[in-house]
Amino acid sequence: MKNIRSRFPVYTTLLHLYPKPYRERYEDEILQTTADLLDDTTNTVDKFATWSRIAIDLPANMCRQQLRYVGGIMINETPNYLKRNSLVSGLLLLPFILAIVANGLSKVITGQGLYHSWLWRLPALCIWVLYLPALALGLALATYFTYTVRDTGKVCRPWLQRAIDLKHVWSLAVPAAIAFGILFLVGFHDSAQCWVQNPAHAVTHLHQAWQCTTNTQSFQAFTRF
Amino acid sequence: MKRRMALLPQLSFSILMALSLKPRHGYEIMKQAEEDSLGKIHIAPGSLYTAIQQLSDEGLIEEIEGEDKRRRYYKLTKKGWERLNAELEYFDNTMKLAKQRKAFEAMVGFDI
Repeated sequence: MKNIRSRFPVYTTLLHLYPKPYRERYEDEILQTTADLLDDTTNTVDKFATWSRIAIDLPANMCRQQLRYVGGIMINETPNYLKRNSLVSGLLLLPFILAIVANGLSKVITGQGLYHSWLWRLPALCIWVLYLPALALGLALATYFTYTVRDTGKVCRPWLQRAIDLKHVWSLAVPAAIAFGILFLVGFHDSAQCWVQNPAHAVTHLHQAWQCTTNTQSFQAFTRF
Repeated sequence: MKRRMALLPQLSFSILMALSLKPRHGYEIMKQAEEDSLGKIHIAPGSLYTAIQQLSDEGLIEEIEGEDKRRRYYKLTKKGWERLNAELEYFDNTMKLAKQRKAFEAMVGFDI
C-alpha cells in the first residue's frame, strides 16, 4: 500500500479531505481501485479522462461524506439540549432574515423599500433588529458555556477540548455568529457605513476609512464606555 | 398493508446487480457495473465507496475475505438479496405496464 501512496502523492493528500472514519475504512481501497483503473487504461487520453472523472467526483463526494459525518455526529452524539437551543437560536433570527428579504423583494417589485411601513417603526423595528438577535446570541452563548462546563456523559472530555469542539458546537456557533454580526452592525451602523458603502475605497484608503470610523457617534460612545 | 419502498439509487442498484453474480472487490464491481450498463455508467472510486458504505450500513452487503488479501471483497446479504428481488419485481411490473400501454396505444391508434 505504501507503493500506491507514493504513486499518487497528490491524490493521497487530497483524500485527507474526507472525514477520518471514512478515510480509515476506505482510503486503501480507493487508492487500489484507482491504481487498477489507471493500469487498465492504455493511452494518455483515457488516463486523462479517468483523472478528470476522479477530479470531478472528489469535491462532490467529499462534501457528501462531510455532511453525512457531521449529520451523524449531530444525530448520535450531540446532546439534545444543544440541538434544541441551536434550533431556537436560529428561529429567533428568522424575523430579521425575513424582514430583510421582504424589504429586498419590495424594492424589486414596487421600486421602494419597506422603510415607511410598521416593520421599520418602533417597537417592531426594535424587536426584530435588537431584542430577538440579542436573545439568540444570549441563548447560544449560555448553551455553549453549559456544554463546555457540564459533563453530559455522552461526550466526556476536558472542558477546553469541549470548548473548541466545532464538530458538536457548530450548530450553536452559526446562529451566534450571525446574531453577533447583526448586533455589531446595529451598534456600529454609522461606523459600518465607512467600510460597507465603498469597500474597495475603504481598503485602498485605510487611513481615511479609519478616520471616518473614529468620527462616528457609535465609535466615540464605545471608546468613552 | 404493504410497506412503501423507496427505490435504490442507480449506482447502488448497479452494485447489487454486480454482486448478484459472485462476491467481488471494488474494481470488479466497477467493471461489472460499467459492462451491465453497456458502458453508459462510469463510476469514480470515491462514489463507488460512498455507495458501498451506504449499502454496508443498511446491511445489504457485507465484507468477506477473498483470494487477494490486499483487497476487500463484498457479497450480498440475505437482506440484500431480498431488496434486489423487490427492485427487480418493481421494474418487471413497470415493464409489463409499459407494454400494456404500448398495446393500448396501438389499439386506439394515437400517441398517449
